[in-house]
Amino acid sequence: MAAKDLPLVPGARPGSMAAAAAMERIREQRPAIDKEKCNLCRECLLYCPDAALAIAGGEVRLELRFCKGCGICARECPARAITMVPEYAGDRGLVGEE
Amino acid sequence: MELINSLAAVPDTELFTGGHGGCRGCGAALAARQAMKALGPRTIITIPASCMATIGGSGLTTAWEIPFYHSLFECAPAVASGIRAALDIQGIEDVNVVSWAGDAGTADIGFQSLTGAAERQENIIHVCYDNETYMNTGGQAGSATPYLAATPDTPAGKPTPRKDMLAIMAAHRPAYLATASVAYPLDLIQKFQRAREIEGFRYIHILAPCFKGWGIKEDQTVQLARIAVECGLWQLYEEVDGRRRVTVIPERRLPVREYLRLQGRFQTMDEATIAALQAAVDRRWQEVPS
Ligand SMILES: Cc1ncc(C[n+]2csc(CCOP(=O)(O)OP(=O)(O)O)c2C)c(N)n1
Ligand code: SF4
Ligand code: SF4
Ligand code: SF4
Ligand SMILES: [Mg+2]
Repeated sequence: MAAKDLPLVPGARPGSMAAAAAMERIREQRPAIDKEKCNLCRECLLYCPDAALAIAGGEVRLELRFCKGCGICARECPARAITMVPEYAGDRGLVGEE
Repeated sequence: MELINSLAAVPDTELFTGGHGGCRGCGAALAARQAMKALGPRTIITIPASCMATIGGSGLTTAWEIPFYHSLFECAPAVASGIRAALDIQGIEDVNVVSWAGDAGTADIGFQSLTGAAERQENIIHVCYDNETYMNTGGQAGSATPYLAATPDTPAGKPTPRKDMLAIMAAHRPAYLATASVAYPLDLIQKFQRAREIEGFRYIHILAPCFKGWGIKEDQTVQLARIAVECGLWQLYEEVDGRRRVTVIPERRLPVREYLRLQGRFQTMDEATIAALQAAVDRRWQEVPS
């Protein structure tokens, strides 16, 4: 049998974890980005372990489905343009509005 | 090849996507995301048992946008060697074949296949993402765990120092060898770019902190990866044909105490031990050609 005719084990489809992402289920806080302070240096983009940040239309955009609320972007932003705002506070449940 | 010289030049495409299964602030996931910016879509990756093998998905869903293969713990570099042989026989040349293992998959349980692949000068890149413990099974100590780090099975601190994997791999005379840190993404990306262009066995060792194992907060992953470089415990360099070049000389120098005291796992370390570690780092610092 030629190598190309060998049966294939079904594989995971690319993009399947991104498509199913719903990190609001585990997130307790999320970044709020101050557009006035942000100088578009892009550092937060490369430090986010979850690929939740991108620059589009001249500003940093946050993909909330990906963001786990780790706070790395807020700690690393050299312009201090990011603050973490609580979304869930234990027995007090969800806090704040979207 | 044009080196990526600014953050603006880093490609936007995510080949390791959001939605993956890593914890908040996972250094291992961050390392993979950064590396894929340089490796590009023509890459096949093989991953042994580790956090990375669970983070990136399973047979059903995945965060990888490239072909990935989960191997047994012992044999990711051997599987990568086989993938390279299969590509060679089909005349496919433009693919990066990467084995991507944790510190246990590199220095301990995966070591025999790693040393074999390096000795055969396989045309692959082996990456060790180093969180200095066996995180996927609860953070047990291994040979990459530093001296006196507390882990579930060394609660009073690991009694022996960390194995020097870079010296061991350098002794194999690889075509390319480099250290990297998730706090220096451009340096990391450039090293993967250089490794891509070189034929033969290439070894890249990335310091990728894990908040759980290190006793830090989730937002401190990058901070600790940076302070490790600034205090001199983790040097950033590369070696082509055995010639070393330091790639990052940190703007500020910090005492090792600062690095150690930020982490929960070094709480048992006394001042005399810290002073001895500082002296060793100072000696090595003087040897660094700047
Ligand atoms: C032969 C074998 N022994 C033990 C295990 C259990 N096991 C799975 S992952 C792991 C630790 C992995 O540590 P490391 O390579 O450092 O990666 P990390 O999880 O820290 O990212 C262990 C012991 C296994 N899967 N196979
Ligand atoms: S790190 Fe801060 S200043 Fe830089 S792009 Fe991100 S939010 Fe803007
Ligand atoms: S909080 Fe963490 S996951 Fe969310 S955008 Fe910032 S770095 Fe990314
Ligand atoms: S235990 Fe550590 S290395 Fe493993 S997924 Fe969580 S943060 Fe990442
Ligand atoms: Mg590990």
